[in-house]
Amino acid sequence: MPPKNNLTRIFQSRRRHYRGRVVGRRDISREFAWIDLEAEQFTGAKPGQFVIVQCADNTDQLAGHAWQDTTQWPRAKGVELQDRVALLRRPFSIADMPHGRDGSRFSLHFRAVGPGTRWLAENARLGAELQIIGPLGNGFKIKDVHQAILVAGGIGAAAMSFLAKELRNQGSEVVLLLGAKNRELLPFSLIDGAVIDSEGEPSLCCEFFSELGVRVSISTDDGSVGKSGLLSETLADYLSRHRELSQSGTVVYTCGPEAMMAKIVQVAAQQQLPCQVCMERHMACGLGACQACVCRQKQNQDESDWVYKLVCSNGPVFDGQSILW
Amino acid sequence: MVEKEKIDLRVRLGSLELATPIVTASGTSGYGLEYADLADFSAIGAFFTKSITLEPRKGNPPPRVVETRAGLLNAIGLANVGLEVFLKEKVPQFKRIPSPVIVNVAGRTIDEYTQVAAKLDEVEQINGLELNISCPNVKEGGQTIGTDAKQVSKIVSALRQVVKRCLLVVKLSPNVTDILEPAKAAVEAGADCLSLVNTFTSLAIDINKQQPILANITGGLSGPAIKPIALYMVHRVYTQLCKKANVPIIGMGGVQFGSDAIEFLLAGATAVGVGTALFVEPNSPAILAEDIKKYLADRGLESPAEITGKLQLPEKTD
Repeated sequence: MPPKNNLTRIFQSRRRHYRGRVVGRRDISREFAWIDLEAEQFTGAKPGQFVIVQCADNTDQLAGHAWQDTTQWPRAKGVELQDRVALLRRPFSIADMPHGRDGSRFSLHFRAVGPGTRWLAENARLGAELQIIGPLGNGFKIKDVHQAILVAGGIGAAAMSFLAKELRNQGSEVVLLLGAKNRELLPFSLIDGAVIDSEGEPSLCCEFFSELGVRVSISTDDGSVGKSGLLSETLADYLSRHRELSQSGTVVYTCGPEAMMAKIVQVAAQQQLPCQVCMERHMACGLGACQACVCRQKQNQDESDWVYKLVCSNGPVFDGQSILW
Repeated sequence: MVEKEKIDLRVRLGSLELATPIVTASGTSGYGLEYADLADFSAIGAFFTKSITLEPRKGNPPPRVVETRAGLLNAIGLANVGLEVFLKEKVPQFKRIPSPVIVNVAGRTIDEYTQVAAKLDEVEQINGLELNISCPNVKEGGQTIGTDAKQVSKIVSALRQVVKRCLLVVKLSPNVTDILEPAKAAVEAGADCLSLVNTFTSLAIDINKQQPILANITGGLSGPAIKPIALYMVHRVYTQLCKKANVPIIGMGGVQFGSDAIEFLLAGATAVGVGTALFVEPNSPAILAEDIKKYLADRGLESPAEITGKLQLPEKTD
């Protein structure tokens, strides 16, 4: 059978795959960093969407793969020969689009914890180029939201900054409840001299958000800053102090560790508030091909009637009430 | 030196002609169009789909994958939409895939395999069937069949009766003492082509929780870590069986760079599967095909077939 080569043109546009150049970088703390990337092809992302980034020395794989005249074979750098090198791409929430949704600039906010993110922390210097695929996934729904309560645990906050900005752009009221293990592991810097309430009442205390007029409440597991305790308690307390929120147009958005999100969904449900969750899973492809990143979604009230959904392409954002944790 | 443009990358795989020797390994590129805007499909010699079973399968609970050093451990568990939805929703997409399409077939029993294969053999847009008797992540079927030469013989014979039009490919498991035994059984029972290897049964452990990382406990290892073992197996099956029997081999296991693909060709493969590397670089087939072209041009060769099995062995001294 002859190859059907006449049909190949449709596959030639590789519109979601490109290099992003690092044009800005800020190290927030020992483990958290924020980078701005510029890539002409990148545009129109929604909050909650993500990109997958190659986080290894063979980042230059496109060039490294290709045969170069008069030189030796491309060497399998890293993957075969070194210790703990990231083989797969890593997913990152889009933390911001500094020039707006039509701009070609986007930000990633990450914590250096594993081989991939540590490589990124070391190598994403100004001018460096990263291999990017995205934007991917579905994103948060923000239409007709009047008041938004964002609840972020740890680096889950990476999905919240862009969401807060887009919500503010459409005139929604936004508040962020931010939680971390301790002061050191806060994903954002606190503004010098800001007053941080130990009962968890939000204030203009956190970088990025204060510029948007978004008040932030801080909770830490050990109480080293802000309220001591879990985010689910912070949310329950906040809702009991702000009864006016239990009305239409209020939505809870959450991203963080799974056990935390499950509790946040519960607390929101008790007040009849809808809750959108941004799920995280180990991914291999990020594109719906490998079927690795599944979570269970209920089909109705009956908990035994569920299906697996792909976090990468059916999500990462889901209706929290529909998730079977 | 030959002009790069003059090189013809086409290879023959039984009754099929592939535009290049690079094919997508089953399970790593979905049902067809998942990579449509990320890869140059004209460089794909043949497109191998995910496994299809008679009934839809939910697959294993998460975590289903974990990255290990130079490798990827997966236990997807043959999650798929099932034959009926596949025929209705996925097959129509195949007209957009320029290469031949080979559908991977799995089942719990020989009867299930036969039912699925018989049905798919009637579908014009499908050019080949790859018999998955090597999945390490299911309780029934999969490698429970592929690691027993008698069962291999039985299932391939059964499939041979119903597969009349499609190329019949048998995918072998490496989780055996000697891969030559199931390979022989498959060829003797009428396989048109062998593909090897599937993943290696493996275990990853979280030492903090003192638990396996995958919910399925074990998974199948793929990626650069397995390449040398896969090469050995391809070479063994080629020299001891396929060369004489004139049965083409699709070699796979850890192929990431052009040099990896050439190693498999030299070891005896007619075509080379790329799998895990697609997750890192979806456009790998085009990049690898270009590398093979360059390799051939530098050596005055015109076709990948000229290097298949051309591994030069040292003369025996003792």
